[in-house]
Amino acid sequence: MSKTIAAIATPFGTGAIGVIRLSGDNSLNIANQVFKCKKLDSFCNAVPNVMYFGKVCCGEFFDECLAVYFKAPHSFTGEDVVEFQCHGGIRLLEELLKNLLNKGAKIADKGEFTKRAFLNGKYSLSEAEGIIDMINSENIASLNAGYRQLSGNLNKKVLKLEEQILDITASLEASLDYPEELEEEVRENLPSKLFALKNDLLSLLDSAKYSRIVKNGINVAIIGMPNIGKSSLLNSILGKDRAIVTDIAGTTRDVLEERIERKGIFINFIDTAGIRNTTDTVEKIGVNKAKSCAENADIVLMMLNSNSNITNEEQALLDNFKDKPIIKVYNKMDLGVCVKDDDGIYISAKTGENVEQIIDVICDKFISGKIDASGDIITNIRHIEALQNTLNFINNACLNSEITPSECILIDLRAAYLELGAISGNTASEDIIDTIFSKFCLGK
Amino acid sequence: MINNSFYDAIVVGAGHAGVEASLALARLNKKVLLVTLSLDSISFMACNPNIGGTAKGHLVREIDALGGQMGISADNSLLQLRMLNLSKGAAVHSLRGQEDKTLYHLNMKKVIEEEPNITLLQGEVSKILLDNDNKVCGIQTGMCSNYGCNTVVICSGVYLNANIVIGEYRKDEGPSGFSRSSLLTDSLLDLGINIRRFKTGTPARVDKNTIDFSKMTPQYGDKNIYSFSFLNDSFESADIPCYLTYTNEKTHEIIRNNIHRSPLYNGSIKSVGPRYCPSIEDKVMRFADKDRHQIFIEPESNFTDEMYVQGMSSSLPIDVQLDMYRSIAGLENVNIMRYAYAIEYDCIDSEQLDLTLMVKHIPGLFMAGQINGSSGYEEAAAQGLIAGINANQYLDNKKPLILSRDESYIGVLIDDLVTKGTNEPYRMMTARAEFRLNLRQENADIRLTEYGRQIGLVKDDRYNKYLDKINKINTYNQILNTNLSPKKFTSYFESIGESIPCNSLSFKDMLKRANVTSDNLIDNFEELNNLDRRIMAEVASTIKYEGYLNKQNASIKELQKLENKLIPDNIDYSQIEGLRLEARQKLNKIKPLNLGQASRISGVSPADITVLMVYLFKK
Repeated sequence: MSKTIAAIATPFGTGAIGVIRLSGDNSLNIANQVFKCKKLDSFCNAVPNVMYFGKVCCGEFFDECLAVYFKAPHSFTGEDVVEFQCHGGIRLLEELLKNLLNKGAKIADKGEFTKRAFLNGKYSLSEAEGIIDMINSENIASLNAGYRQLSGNLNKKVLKLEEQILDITASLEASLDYPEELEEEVRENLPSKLFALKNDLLSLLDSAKYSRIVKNGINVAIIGMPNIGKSSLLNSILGKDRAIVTDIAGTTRDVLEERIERKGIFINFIDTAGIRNTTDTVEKIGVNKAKSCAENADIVLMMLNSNSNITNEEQALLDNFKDKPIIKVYNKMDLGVCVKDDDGIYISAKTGENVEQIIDVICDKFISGKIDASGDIITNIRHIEALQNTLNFINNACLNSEITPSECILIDLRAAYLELGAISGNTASEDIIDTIFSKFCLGK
Repeated sequence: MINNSFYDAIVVGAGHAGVEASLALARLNKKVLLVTLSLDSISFMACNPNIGGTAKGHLVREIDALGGQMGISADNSLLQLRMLNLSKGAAVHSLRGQEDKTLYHLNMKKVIEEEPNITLLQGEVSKILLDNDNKVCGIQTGMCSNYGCNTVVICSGVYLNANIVIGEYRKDEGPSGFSRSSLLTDSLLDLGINIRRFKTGTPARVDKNTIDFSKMTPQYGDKNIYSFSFLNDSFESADIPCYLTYTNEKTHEIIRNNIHRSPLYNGSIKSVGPRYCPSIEDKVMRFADKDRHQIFIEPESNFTDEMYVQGMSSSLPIDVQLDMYRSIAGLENVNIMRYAYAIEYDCIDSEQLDLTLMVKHIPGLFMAGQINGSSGYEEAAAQGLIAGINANQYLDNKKPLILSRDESYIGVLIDDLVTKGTNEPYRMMTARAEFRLNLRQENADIRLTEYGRQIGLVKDDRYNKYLDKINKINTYNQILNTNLSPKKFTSYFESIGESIPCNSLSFKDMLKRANVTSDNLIDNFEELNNLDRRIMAEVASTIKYEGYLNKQNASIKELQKLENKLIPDNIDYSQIEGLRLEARQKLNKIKPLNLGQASRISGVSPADITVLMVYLFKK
């Protein structure tokens, strides 16, 4: 039986609808566990190629959605396929996807639907070309140091888990292949070792549950000279007077943060103190804070004056953040425009003119991957799934570990190691044999 | 004996690989010339006096199931028979026989001599001859006589440019004083075959009469276990003991004080030795915290008083060797008859072979055994058999025999060598077989007899036994479905300490319990009394492993999907867009048969495999 895979089939972050596709022998069964429809007792009885309207469970909430069943071999992949058409929005789709994974689906590898379609003889030439492009881009991305790399801390923990599994595996393997020579008692502490491993996995999973962007949104720092209208812009976006607006330069001394949700994406606007050389101690702190905020943000929104030329100070700031995604916003267009910049957005924070355009540009940058966020979501779900699978295998290994034969426990341990390998890129067979011989003195 | 100067096949070397290759070819009615450096070294066991052991015992059973010779000859030369890992599950039960080396050699020599299709010749092969199409057409010996043929199987073991090393002493010779082959390496280089240098070693042989066995623990074999060949149904084996003793702090001190005189440590040996076969100096230096190492004293043969000192291989100078051997309990006055030595030898880069064991760029030239970078009698014999079979298929223009990883250890062995290559002498381990639970020594016949039959090596006696076993397995499976009410098994369950359920159980349900074995079921239930215990045990294994076997079968199915996608052999990978450079180079070198094999090549990523899939589709 081929494993059943699932993935969000529409691009991240866009659109009024989002599609999640399930493919594999178990698709109907998994779909039935999350989708309820008045017309059917069970989705397992769904008629192929018919759209059903119902409710789908996305973790803690339900959403209305359409579901359709394509019966093998008359589907895109040639396998049983179920597609859910939901409302758009990353959070909803992610929650539904997570729920499907909980019910036994596996996250699809990049191109895996197409790969299955190919294996089942469903492939067309144009699709074949498409997949090569995609794989190429993946290969380029994998050369990029940022890709696949976990945060330092998480990475360390994964490596430590791998080491723990390798350690137990190697000693069990050694006892099987060298029954006469291995004097160490490898089974003695096995249950407690497996239990410790399980606990470490559980706590790691807890801490790694959501990817940053899905959970926290895109951080956009608004920077610029004092009194250029940063707080006014924030208020205009939020439609409420959140920031204190005065015409006295240097009013915003602390950092204000506000969140909006557009197109299913959270955007956090961070209003900062105007950046200028100042002697006021409190304001100075605010200025430094503003700089570090911008440093850490996903996008820098640089506010400039539409009716005066860029000052040296402003140019210095622009240069300072030239490696970050930056959006130049020229404010005060209601007072006239004398600067020409095709890359800039001209707005009036006061009247609200063109303010929505800023949000569109931010969403575009996110969706087009310019702020390296969509990759983050995928890899993170992959990592979570890999950790979850690892945990499942370790749970199996824990069952009756006092009496289960080593060669059987090893099946789950090896599978667990392979799952972690999906994150770390390590492969089982040679690692295990290397560890056997570095750890134990064996051989005639 | 025939005396033509043209043969169907010529086999170079009459070690464990060479005899299997020539017997397979001869039994398939090919005229074979078997050339060996010395007729006294046919099937010579140059190192340990045993056959089998973990994973290796599995290989012997597989060789036997296919119609090879090793299992039969091993059964006829037993000094002791043990089943290792009996306390563990059936998948890792491993048969090991202490063998009478001299008898094994004589038995094998007789089998070869009695085979009418084999012509034996003592001599040194110096050249492999190719015709204008770059195909093998014969060999030349050192004495400049030519022999024509259509296929050659090279099984030169550790003899190519071999030299032995004992301390500062170094000599150009093969194992145990046999002369080496000095001419063939150059011919292989001329053919574009890459040569590498590996190293291995062997411990001293000591005089039985100078050992104090009272200071050691004797170890006897197991009773009531079946021997290697599926043709044998009896339990008869001699039971000559081995003896266990240990090194001690004094031994280790002698080694540490003289480590600068070890060729392994002072740099005079540069070739790669196996990690799983470390010399005693290696063990002491690398595992300094261990205060003792096990040493087994094993009989070499009934025809000699020489004893093999397992665990003490070394290349230290002989004065150090004598000191350290004599520091061991029971060996205080030991007389060393042959000193331990390291041996360096030429072998080839096994990635140049295809899965039939033929050199990819030279049609008709097959390689088997240690020349391929493996180590061990059983690994050699397994390759010899497969190379012999495939040389025959090559001659007859028939489909080659390629065993897969999910059906045999032989498949794992050859796939590992050919697809992944090896940087040290390769030893078979059960840890290398990802489908270990299926690959049991007890079911090697179920897995492989049909292949042997199709090839023509399995004769009626073996085949009928196999068919009978299949029948019985089916019948037993039905019998074991019989449901019993609790009162029928209460007293039995009480006697073995199993909890008693309130519902009825089938025999199969019972077998899933930890304390229920096939033997005690047979003993406790009348309806099972007349079942064959050997077959019943095998049926019980599949029942006990059932849940885990299902898991394995699911991954086997995934693998087979990839294995079924064949790759034509004329692909130029350097022209495939989307493959990474490393993948292009490795794929061009290995030329995998199918996507499954391609996916196991190191340096080929899953993304590369997808690119390859798409490319294949477009073609």
